[in-house]
Amino acid sequence: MKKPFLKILASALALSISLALTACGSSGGSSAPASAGSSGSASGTSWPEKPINFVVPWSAGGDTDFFARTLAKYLTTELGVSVNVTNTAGGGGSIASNEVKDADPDGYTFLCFDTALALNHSCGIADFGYEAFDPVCLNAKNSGEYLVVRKDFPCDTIAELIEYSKANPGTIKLAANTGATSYYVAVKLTELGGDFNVVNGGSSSERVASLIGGHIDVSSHAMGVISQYLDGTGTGELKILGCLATERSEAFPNIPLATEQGVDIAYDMVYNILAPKGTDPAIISRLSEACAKIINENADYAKEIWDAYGASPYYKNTEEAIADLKTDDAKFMEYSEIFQKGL
Amino acid sequence: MIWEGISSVLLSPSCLIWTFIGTTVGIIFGCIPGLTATMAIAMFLPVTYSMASTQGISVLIALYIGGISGGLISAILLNIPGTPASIATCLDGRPLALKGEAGKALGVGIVFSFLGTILSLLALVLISPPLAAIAIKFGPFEYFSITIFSLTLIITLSSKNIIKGLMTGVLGLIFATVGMAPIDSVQRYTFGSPALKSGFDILTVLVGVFAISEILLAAEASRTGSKKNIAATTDFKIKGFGFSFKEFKSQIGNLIRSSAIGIGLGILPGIGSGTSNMLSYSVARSQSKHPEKFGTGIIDGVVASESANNATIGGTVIPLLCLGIPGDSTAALLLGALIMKGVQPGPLIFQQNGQVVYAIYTAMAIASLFMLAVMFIGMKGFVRILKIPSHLLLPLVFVLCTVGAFGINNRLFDCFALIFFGFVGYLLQKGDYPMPPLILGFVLGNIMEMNLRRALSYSQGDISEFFTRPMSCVFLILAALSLVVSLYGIYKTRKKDKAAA
Repeated sequence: MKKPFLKILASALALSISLALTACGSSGGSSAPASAGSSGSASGTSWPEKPINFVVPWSAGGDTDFFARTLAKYLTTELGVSVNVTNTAGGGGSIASNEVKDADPDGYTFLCFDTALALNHSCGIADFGYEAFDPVCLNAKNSGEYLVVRKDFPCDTIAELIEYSKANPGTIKLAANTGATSYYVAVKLTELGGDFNVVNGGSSSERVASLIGGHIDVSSHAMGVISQYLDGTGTGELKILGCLATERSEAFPNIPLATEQGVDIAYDMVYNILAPKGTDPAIISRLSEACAKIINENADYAKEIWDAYGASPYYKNTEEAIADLKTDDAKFMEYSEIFQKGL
Repeated sequence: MIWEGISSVLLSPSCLIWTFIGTTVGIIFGCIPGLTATMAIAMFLPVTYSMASTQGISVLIALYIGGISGGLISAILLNIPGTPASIATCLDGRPLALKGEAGKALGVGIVFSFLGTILSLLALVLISPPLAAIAIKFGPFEYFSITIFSLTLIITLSSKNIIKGLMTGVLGLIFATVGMAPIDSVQRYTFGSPALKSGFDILTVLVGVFAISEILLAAEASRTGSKKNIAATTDFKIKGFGFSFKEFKSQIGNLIRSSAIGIGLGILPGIGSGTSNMLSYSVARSQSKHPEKFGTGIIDGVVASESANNATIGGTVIPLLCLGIPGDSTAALLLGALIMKGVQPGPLIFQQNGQVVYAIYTAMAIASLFMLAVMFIGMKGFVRILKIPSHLLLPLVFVLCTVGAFGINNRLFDCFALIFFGFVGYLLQKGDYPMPPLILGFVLGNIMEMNLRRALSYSQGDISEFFTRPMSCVFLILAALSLVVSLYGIYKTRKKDKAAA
């Protein structure tokens, strides 16, 4: 008598758990680029008919994930179908980019990536850049990255830092991670005559701890992780030598740019949305317009990204996006050989 | 500010309900092999976006505590650790269950999980800034030395045969090298496959070698008829938590030592959760008056492992809040959730977001109470899992493991990796090779390699800094001592055996 009962109990348990999992899985995002619906011309008008999947190449919780999820939340209302975000982390982002590149271009799978797309290409982690996709738009930009040292470090500008490193060759530890913007900074500083001991420092928050602990000397960071250590906004243990962005940030307009100090380093951390090659242009423009409407007009969206990352709304349409992605790709590809060989 | 933080959790019914749901779901995820606290949090993260910040973070903290605690159930009842944090629980929990004392093992595990969490919470509340200051002092030299020290645990974890233990430990290190190398991202053993670029996930290795191999062995045993039926001997009538006050008193020293180890390793990012249970188990054994009884089913082993792994939670939260450094993938999700709510962790978090900090403390306390209650009520039901015939239970476990593997990254590759490691585990278990060293090697492999290379680049190739830096040197000496002591112990028992023979 007991055994059949247990059997039922066991299978009921199994069923309910797998159901719960698949249900939650699809609310968190289902991955298969489903079968139904071909990318015929009709889909331009009827799109979207089913949930859309945004693939983020990092684990949940980072900046790229945040911008994708915040946008997806508003797109769900805007487009009338749910926009799910799936995280496929690994390989410096190249696992997800490979997957979406080869996905069915049916207008229901998109990649939400960032400047690392071009960096992956240039350092050989991926053998393709933006051209392997049909870009949709640029959806966000962070408030710049900054070159930071400890308070007692005997330099106040990036130009001074370069001179100081020439006087003390190979002794200043500059943190840089292969395939990241920090490595581009290291390459540029070296090219401009600096002589650093370029070391690996781990994630951004680990590098900040290493700076304070005296394990490394110079590192580049977004504002979020460092503001609590700066004079005025925090403990004053760290100071900024300069901003590495292409223009002064709206959030921190008083910090001079590297280019203003006569140091030729300028890059932006920009977030993009890409479709698999061959996606219907009508779908791309429809999605791009929907994004534009949210980013440019929705005050709630603007408040959310400002509170979390100090970012202002930023949108570039498909054409502008392609041009910018091309410039970025060329900028980093120029140093491809050094990236792959190491400094 | 303190009261505001506490009351925002304590006096809000919806917050309490969500904390309860979080704890329960966490326990379920923790106890099912293949599903982990990390997955539970990743699934709940989007749900918390629309919640108030204290409420959202309370749910996630509750999932974390429930998830780590739930692992003991499958470790004891099925010999399958739900997470790397419960590996050492199997070593004595399973023999206890085989002796018919599954209820006692569960009771001990639950109570000491609770106490471990509470002790670490006290450390978090009272001394987190100084502990964070210690964590900052740890550079790559210190990390490398502490991983070397941790690897010497392989010897104590190898139980019978050291050579076999070393072999599986090295096998773990080898599997850890697959994928992109730390630091320079060179691809190793990927055979041109993009899927292998990120290497193997710890979950596929863990669940493969413990769960899938167990299922394969059971399938084989059912064929040959050598079925071991533990349900027949199990006493299903459990009074209270199943152990006496005298037994509890005898474990207080063990509790405090293991919790201290858990907190200490918890503040070191990357090393914490997977290692602390094995380290405290080894230390408990070497400090014990009856080390030979470890592994035969005594509560000391369960106490050491379960209080340490829960104490690691409080330890992990310290660098998370004070430095913004996540110790493991679960903490990384919590960090993301905090930032999304506009809470930037760092030295100023107490001034800028004190309310949230105290809400987190409160949520941790309440979630551990819920955990204690839910697990206590559920305990009698859990034990009955042993009554389910294995030909029904194990296929179920297999399905759940596979679903869990897919859930890691939404990739089929991880399911295949899981099955691959199932066969690896099966073959190794057939040859009587111990599994914990393999997991330890796999967990520590990347951290060790990364920090060695990082340290050598800091010192420009000079190895003397490993010895001239005081903390690094201390851990290297400890490693040497640990080797000598355990080798001497083995030498002594061998001699005794020979004399007896």
